[in-house]
Amino acid sequence: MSLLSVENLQVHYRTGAGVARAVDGASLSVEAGSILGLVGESGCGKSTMGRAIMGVLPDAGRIAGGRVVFEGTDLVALTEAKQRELRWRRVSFIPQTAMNALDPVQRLRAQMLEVLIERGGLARSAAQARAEELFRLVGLDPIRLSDYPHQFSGGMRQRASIALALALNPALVIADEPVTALDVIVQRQVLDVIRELQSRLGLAMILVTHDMAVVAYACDRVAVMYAGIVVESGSVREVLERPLHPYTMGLTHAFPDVHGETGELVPINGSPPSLLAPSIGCRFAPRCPFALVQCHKTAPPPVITGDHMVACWRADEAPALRTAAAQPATWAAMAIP
Amino acid sequence: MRVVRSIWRYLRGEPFAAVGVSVYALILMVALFADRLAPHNPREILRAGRRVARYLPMSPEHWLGTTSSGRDVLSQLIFGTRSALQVGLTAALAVVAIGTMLGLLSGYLGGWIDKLITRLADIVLGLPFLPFLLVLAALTRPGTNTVVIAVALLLWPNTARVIRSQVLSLRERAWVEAARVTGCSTARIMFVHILPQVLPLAALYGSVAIGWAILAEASASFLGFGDPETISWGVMLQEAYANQALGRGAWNWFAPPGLAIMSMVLAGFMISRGSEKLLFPKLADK
Amino acid sequence: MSRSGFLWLIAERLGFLVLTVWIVTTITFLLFRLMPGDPTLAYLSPTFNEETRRALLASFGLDKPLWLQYFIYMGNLLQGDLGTSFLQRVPVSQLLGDALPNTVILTLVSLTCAYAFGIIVGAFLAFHRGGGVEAAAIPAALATRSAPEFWLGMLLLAGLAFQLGWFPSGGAVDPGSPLSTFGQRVLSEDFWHHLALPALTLTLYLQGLPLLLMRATMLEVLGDEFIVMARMKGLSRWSIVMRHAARNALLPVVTAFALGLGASVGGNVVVETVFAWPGVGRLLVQAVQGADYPVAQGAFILISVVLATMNTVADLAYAFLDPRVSVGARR
Repeated sequence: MSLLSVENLQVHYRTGAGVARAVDGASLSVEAGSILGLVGESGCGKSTMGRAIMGVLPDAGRIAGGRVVFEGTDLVALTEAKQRELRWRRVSFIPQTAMNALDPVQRLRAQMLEVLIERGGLARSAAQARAEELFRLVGLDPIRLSDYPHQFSGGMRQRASIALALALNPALVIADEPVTALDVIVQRQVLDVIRELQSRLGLAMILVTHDMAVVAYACDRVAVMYAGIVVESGSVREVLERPLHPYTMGLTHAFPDVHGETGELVPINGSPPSLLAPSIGCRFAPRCPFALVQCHKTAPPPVITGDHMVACWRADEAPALRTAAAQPATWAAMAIP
Repeated sequence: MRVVRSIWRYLRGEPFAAVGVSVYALILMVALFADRLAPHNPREILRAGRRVARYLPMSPEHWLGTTSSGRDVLSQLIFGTRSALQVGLTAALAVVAIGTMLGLLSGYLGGWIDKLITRLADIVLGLPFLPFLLVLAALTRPGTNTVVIAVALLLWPNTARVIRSQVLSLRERAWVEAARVTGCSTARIMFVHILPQVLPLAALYGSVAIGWAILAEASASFLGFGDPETISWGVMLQEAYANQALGRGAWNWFAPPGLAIMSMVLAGFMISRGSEKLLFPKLADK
Repeated sequence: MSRSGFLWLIAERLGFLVLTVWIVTTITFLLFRLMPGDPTLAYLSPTFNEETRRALLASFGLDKPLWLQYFIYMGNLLQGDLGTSFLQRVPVSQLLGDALPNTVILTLVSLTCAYAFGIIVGAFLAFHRGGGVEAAAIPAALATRSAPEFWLGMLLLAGLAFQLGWFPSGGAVDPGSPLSTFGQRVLSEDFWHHLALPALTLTLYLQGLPLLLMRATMLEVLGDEFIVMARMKGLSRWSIVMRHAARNALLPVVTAFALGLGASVGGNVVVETVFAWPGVGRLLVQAVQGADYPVAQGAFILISVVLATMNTVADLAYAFLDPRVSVGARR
């Protein structure tokens, strides 16, 4: 059994224009001790998914359906108080921009001790020692516990956030775009810290990112999200080498890899569809260079071969589509609708 | 027609501003037609039989009763709109004119002019408003002009600061750069290109200044530094206070002028609050 | 900014304070001496004959050239000599010294009540957005800020003092009170009984600002990422609100408190007059009405200096409370 399995999750936001289905029937699973990359463009619902698993959504958002089964318990069915018990102790979170994620008017020590004492039940002296240990673990000098967040560089803030996330020995850590705000060299360093700690501590992780290169560099498995649903998932090697969904093919061409090697980058034209009124067909069809009439009419069901899942009507033709997708002209043709 | 429709749409979307605008419109109408609306001459000493009709309570004849000197309260209230609008509008105009001018100079020219104006603004903001008004009133002839001058002299820094920061961002825009390159004179860029862009913001600060001026006039009149010849809400309150209206429980006399001042000042606040969303859409998301 | 940078900031603000005070006192000097018309008329009764007038002018030093007067004026100010009251024949500094504690107590009491109320209600409104409470509370807060404060005072006076008789209608102690020293008076029940109405009036008038400010900053802070993180950490609601949200949201409110303290000392003028509260504001009004020019000048200078000082304190308080300003980056 997986450590975490999300089944058919629905997250709705009330907006001025109506109900936005940020996550609209998405499923994924995470095995103990492995890193899952959750990848997609901005606005596809991946960050919302991470927050929904934590059970902390903005006021306008709510889980409208589905299950989040963690260590055999459905978190959605738990009371808020029970959920709060689990938060940070079993599942913790590394935020997108550590700048605002740390309280600007409190020293790092206070912020570490708060979690260790209030949530971890440690005595003050033990918490003090643990905070220093955690700082060393992520490669920070414990003396910097006396500093305020604004005295840290971006990379150091992110290390501090990682230290906070590991404070209570969680089983699962959700990292939401942990390196996006950093420059390329620091990205590498932080990813290395994450990967090393993950394997040393045997953590399970969900690494939310828009960057295929980060997935390739740091993850074991990958789930590709588009317009609120997971359109393809599998092992990183399998999905990156033999993508079955045209969207995944597009994404792999749209980003340079983490080593900085840039081939010819091909953008996917257009942007994800409105989440207010999702289409009845495949959601990627309007931007897909290979869409057929059928694709616009009915949504493709997920098909699983081995452990590689895809939801695409033309998955059988994937090898041919991959060849075509490697040509910039294929995507350029979609520029004019 | 399009302007009317867009204003209409804006007011429907911003109930706060709509209420404020309606109050202003109402007061403007009352001021314009004060002669016809007022049941009596506000200065006329009314008589009941052979005696002066003092301290009459509310009645169908005198909706808000009469004052200690036998004058009709409602009529005074109605004529008070004129002085309120006069003080409010002239003071607001003066504040906006000075503030916009100095903000524009400071933001666009920069350098020592900017430093000088900014420091001046800091110092002016360090002067206590009402005491300054009192001293000014004591040393010149008391009257509404003093109020307008005091408001103009002390309230321009708020407007100037906002205009300055707006100008700072405008001057970096491409079209200003283009105008500079094509050889437009500095004065032309400032007054023809930039000034129209900052006017809505200035008007916003003006709508708050109207309220401040009316409050200032009321306070000055209450303390005895108003023009006793004019009929204003502040003078009404001063008379009521000085003639024991409080002890007599003559609510009909001292409550209405305060309510009138409050609704007019509140209208200014509401307009500016509503317009903030229009002028700074980002704030509205909060 | 480094540690020494923060000290520099303090030095700079204090320097600016001195500059402001100097400019304000100079403006005051000019205001009182350069107004149109004969300045001596402002405080000399026209009934004096020419000889008395000369003698008086000389005793005030007004027969000397302007620049010399200015130096004498500044020299006297530096020694705390504000001249002698024209009407009461006592040093102005003594009158101000008697009045200032009353004003400070009135201001502190009402400002503290107003901020306590405003902060609590503002925070409450930030947590309960939308709905009837908000729809009623915000216009109500705006309305009390829009009303002339002396009129609020008149309403309370008419209702609570005259009609219900719960409070005295004016002054700081009952007439003929045996209590003579300030200390004795402040400790008496009578004093607080007299303080209640003016303090209530000012509280009503002042609570709108902290209320709206607290609500706005609280809403901003509640949307911040670190509050979301605090929820994710499973912290109790109490910890989230008190330790994180309130502490961040209070920064601007504390600054506003210091600013309000300075502004109120001058702004109390009308409320002190309505309730005949023997403070600096009322002293100023009486001096202006009675053409007691040395007292008016002294009161104006005192009020201006308090205002400028509190502005500086507000600036520094913000810098001190916000580690982003007071504690510099290491690199």
